[in-house]
Amino acid sequence: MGLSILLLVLSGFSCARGPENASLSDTKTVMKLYDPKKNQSMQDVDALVMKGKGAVEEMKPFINDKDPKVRWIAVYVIGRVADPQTAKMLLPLLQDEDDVVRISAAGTLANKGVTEALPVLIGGLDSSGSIEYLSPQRTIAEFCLDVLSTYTKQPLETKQDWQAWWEGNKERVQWDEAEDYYRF
Amino acid sequence: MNLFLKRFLRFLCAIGVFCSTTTPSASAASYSPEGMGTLVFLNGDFVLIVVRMELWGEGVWNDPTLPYRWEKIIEDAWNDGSSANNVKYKCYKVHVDAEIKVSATDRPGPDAEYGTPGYHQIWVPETKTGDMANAYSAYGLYLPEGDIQEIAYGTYEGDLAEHYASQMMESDQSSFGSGTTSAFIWNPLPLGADGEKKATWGTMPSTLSDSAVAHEFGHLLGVSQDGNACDDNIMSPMHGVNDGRLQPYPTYFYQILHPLNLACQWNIRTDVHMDATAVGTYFPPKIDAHNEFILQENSEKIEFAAVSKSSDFVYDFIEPQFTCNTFVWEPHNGRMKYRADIFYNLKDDLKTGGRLYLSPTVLQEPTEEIKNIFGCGAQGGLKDLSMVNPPIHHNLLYGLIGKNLQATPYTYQTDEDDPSCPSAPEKPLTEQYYHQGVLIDGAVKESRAEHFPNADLFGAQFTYDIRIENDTALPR
Repeated sequence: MGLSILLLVLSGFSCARGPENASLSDTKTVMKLYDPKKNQSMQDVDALVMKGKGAVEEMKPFINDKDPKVRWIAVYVIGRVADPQTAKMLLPLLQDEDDVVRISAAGTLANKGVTEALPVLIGGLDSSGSIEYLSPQRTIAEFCLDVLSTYTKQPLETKQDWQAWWEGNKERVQWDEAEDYYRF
Repeated sequence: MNLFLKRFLRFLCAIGVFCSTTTPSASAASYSPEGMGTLVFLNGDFVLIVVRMELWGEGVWNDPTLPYRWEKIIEDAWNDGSSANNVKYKCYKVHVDAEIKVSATDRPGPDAEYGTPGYHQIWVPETKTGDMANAYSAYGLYLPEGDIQEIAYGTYEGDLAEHYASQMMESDQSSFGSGTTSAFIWNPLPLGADGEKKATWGTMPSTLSDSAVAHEFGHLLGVSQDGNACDDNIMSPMHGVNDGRLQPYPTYFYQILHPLNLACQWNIRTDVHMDATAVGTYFPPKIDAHNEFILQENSEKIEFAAVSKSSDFVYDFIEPQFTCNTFVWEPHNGRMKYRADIFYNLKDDLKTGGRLYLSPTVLQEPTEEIKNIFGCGAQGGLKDLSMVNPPIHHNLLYGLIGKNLQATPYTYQTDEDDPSCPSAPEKPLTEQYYHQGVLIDGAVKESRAEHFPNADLFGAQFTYDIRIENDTALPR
């Protein structure tokens, strides 16, 4: 009886511990239990973002996690807090087998001038899926078109048009850091 | 509260004890309006809903235009267009006002305690297109997962209400009147609420689409996710998938305002007209009649079925001459009573305040009695009037309750199970209301409906016109 009360007390204090004091295992728990429909869950993930650049090293091990949701949260946090150079640690995820992880990584890398992200986004233009970890959800196709249009200033619509544009300009595309867009 | 005590309370929550006291309950009485952020001011038939948001974070500090942009998006969307008084709720005019202020750039931290009391605290992180960022919808601090509390309201009456309204209203809102009753709305389910600090808070990234901004603001108004709505309704949880329409749905205002028990009274008049047409051996005359009554919501009931007192159904005219005969008629007025239900379902109802569905009760049937006849049908008067005196035949209530009418059914759409989508044409659904009653298109002054146009009653053309001559907001 005494032992069970002690365990309950300890578990109570463990739950009360905020993400700002979380250890690596706590962070992993936050990531594993993440559910965009649940209150505390969204808040815990944003608490990681609130740490700023200090969260990058904490997130780094999770880029290779076997759970796509955990990899996506790593993209969520690193994409929001890292500078363009540091964010390149997400480059391997441009080949991720999971559509949501791959497209999300491409989206956040595209706004940091990583040219390799553009063909990945073009590939997502005909997707029928959604970024279901996001609240509110977004369709992959709409997200890809939004990012491509914003950073290339091209008024193209179809995947074929974008592919043709990419084939014609991929050797010349360069990131304009001052203006935040790809010039070619 | 010191850290140890906070943790101890959380622990008690974790083991399922004491949650009802550390977690805000649905009992409005236990909450202070300070910190709730959403307020309702009522002045006669005018309802002003004020939502106060304090924004903080790099997203707003680095973009001074953002508060003005969001305010316009929000007010345009929730006022159903840019002009004031576009939204009607029954006989009330409703206006939504977003008040946005920005925290100083040296705000120490995210906790609500660092913000201004009485304002929803919104973190606006600076995001760029392509970044992943969640928005406000599912936040909550002390609420157990799966909690399904309803919206909590608190109201103030009399002098306290006046004092409160005068203190809380900004100068630019005072033109709406010196509110006599006010309320606050607190909806913990979608918002999340820091009950300890009496504030709600959440995240709205700087790159939110217009429709997502309007959607998240809906939660601040106290409106929950609309799981039954079309995908492009403003409170659909799927809103944000695409940059959807900004159409608010009338039931959202119902959700906000229904618990405040706002009641109305309507002065209604019906006019009935029947042309004279000979059918076989019958000789129905041309008839005009009317009925005036006052319909009043019963504020003592949770479900506001509006009811009327009994009223006379009055003959205005009975045609004295027909074919080559002259008749002597004696009218016997009827007596009527009505009860009404209020529909507030379709997007059109935003502009008309809803629709009144009236069910009449006949207390005394009106009849026309032939006292005599002169002319070709009689030499000095008929002794037997059976040929032209169908005692029920001309009964106007036949028309009113639809008996024997070959009428064009009145078309109305109900959508409680299948809501109408703003982007799609409203679905035609014929409800044969003439079997039970009549429906008025709108719940505000000048609303009217014509029932049974071109209806055929034994060959006579029959029309039934009903309109609201006046509406009044009842004092609470």
